[in-house]
Amino acid sequence: MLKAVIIDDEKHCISRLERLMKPYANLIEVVARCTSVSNAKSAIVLYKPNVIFLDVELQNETGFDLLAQLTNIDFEVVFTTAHNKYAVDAFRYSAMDFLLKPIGESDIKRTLSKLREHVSLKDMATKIELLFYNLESRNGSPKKITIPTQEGLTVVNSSDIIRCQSDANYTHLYFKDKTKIIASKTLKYFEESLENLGFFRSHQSHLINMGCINKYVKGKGGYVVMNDNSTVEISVRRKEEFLKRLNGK
Amino acid sequence: MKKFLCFFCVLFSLSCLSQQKQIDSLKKVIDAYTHQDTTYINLRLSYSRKKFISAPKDTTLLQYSLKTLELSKQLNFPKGEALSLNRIGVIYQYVFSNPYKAIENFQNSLTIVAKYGLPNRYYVGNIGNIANIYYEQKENEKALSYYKKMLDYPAYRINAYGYIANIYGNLNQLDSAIYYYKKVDKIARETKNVFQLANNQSNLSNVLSKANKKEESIASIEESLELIDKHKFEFIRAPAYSNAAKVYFNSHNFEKAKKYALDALSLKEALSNLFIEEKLWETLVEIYETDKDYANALDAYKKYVKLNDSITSLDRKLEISRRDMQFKADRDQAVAQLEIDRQRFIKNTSFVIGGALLVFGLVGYFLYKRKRDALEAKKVADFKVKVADTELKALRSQMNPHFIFNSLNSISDYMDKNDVDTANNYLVKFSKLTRSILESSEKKWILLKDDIELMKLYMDLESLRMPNKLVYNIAMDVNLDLENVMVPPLMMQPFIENSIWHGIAKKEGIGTIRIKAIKEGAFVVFTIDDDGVGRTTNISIDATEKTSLGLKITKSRLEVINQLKKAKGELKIIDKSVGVQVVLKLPLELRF
Repeated sequence: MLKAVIIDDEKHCISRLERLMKPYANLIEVVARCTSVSNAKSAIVLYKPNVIFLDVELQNETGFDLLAQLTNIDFEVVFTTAHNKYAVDAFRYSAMDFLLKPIGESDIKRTLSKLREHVSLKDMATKIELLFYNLESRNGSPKKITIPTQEGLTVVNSSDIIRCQSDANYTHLYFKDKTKIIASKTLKYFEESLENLGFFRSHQSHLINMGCINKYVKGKGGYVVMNDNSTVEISVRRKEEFLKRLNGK
Repeated sequence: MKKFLCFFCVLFSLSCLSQQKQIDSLKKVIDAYTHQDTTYINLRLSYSRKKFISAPKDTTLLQYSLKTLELSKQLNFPKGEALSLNRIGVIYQYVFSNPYKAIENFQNSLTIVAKYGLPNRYYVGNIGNIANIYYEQKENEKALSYYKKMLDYPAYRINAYGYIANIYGNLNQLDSAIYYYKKVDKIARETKNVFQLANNQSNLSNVLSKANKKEESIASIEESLELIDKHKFEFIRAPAYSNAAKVYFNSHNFEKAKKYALDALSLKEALSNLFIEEKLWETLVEIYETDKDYANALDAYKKYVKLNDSITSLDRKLEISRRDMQFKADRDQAVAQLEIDRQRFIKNTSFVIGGALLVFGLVGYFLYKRKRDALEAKKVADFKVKVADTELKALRSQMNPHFIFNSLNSISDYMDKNDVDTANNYLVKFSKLTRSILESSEKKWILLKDDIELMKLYMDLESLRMPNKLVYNIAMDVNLDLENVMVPPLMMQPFIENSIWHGIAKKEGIGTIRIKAIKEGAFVVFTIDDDGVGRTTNISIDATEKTSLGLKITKSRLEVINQLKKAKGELKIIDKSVGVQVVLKLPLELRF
């Protein structure tokens, strides 16, 4: 049985989430409901929950403030938010789980089945550390992202990735230091988290770092030579947009 | 419109010579007949039909047919009754020009057909007669509904399609007109009915030309003319030449246009039909004006005005049988139109004189060039404004306030009724759709897969708004890679909305929407079919005024796409016999 704490400044959101979890009463139990950071802090110490559902906006504080004040995070964190693009981007980089409000029945089902699989707590700490790193490093500075591999989570600087290449349900990532990681996610997954970080999907099976291009060789679609001397094809249909991006538009 | 009529009249008169003998011998048999039984009535009916064809102005036929009706009633012979009533209707229509009396008799005949379960051909015959009357009286809506009833009977289908197409052509609903002409075309080809094919291609070319489909219209008229020459279909030669003149004029082939217009005028058939002659002079005015041959233009114009006047007076005679009010309105309009035409001609002439003077004033090429460059720049700027404007409006129409607040209202209604689960389901779907629309509106193209999801979400929501009313299905061509094909977000949504709220909501029982996408060369063709009540045909000739906002926006989005992709995407709205079909042809856009 999982113990859960819900932290949200809106009573309606708390009761809605509780109602959605009712059918899973044999799996998860809500032990405390909090509406402020200080409140939540003492509840977590008291109840030692396995998971907390944490709202991003908490009146004049944020859910991040709560995590920053805790010395030891030994529980899963699921963020909830209505519409906060900045936070959602940060969750994506860190592979944090989050729920968009209003939450649907199928959303909660998906989250609970993930919780049941017991993602290791070591990963949670890594994810949260990364989340803070990315939240603090404001616009322009390099971001770190988590890469799910078969062994677990690896954290890398997004700017160290030269390119990603799809291989069925896996993705090969090539780095500046000539290393390579095989991730257990599709190229689409990386496209979603990296497209705002200077990456471009140049081809059905290629995602390239626009900052790591040595030269572009013209052709029907043409190809690029990357920092590591690898060549990557540009798909004919992506050429126009690629050139736009290359010229800094 | 009059072409079909004259074609049928000619058929009547062609057969009359050979029948004169038969009529005389039939008359003898009837006179010699002593019993008043059903055979006697059948003979009388056969005589009245043949007599009418050979002498269509014989007023004594009315008394004769009334007597036949009387006898049928006495003998309790329903078939005789139904057929006599039909004859009486025909006589009122053609001999006495009394359409209302005619319809009354046809309706009575129909009642008897239904009451005694007489064979279908008696039913269709009456329906066809009623449809033709409404058609001639320009009561398009009623005519359409009767022609559509005829579609259930294969033998009458080709004629019904032809008339339906003519009506849509007159209403300027060109997509629908083309759709039905093409049906006639198909049947004519299958049954090798060369005459129908020639006549239909000629009519089709006229509508295609109006719809600005130059190449297709030329192909149609050329086939028609070839068939007419080959099979010597003299009685449709004049209207075909008239159409040819118009088609070539619209395709800027002025020489051919002039040739056909003049050739047509040398045919006696053209001169015996005021409507065709009037149209020819009208076309000639345009041709001469383009030729800058003002003397001939004026001459042609005078003839045109004269014919127009006599047609107006001819119309007036017909109108007398109609209600007085409408008569006045029509005449006023005709007079006003004439005045407008005159004014336009005066204006055009003065423009030409002014233009000639201007030529002297032109100092040189540079002025012109500078102006052209400025215009070009303005065009580009206008286009950019249009793109931005269209995108904004598209978002507005998708996030239609009406839709938002009605959805919220429905949610509240489910809550009132304590149906928490449905309210919840509704709310989550509503917010998902809202979020997706906001996100996708930033993009000009999204994956077909995502767009289908949006449409499904939208239709799910609408079906929650009216439970047990809406069913939909979506069929995708296996040749379309959903993960690679890109489409502009929610292009189809306004049509789905129209189908739901103007087609299915007004219908009794469950309605179905079928969405289909297929790959056709370098295009993706979407089809949305509904089985709702359809669009009302009772709209003004200038249909563009009434087009809905959603339709305008889609058209404008399509124009932007066509311009950007240098493609020829198309939008067609077709009134089917049940429901509406929208066909949207978009250039195939792949992500990779």
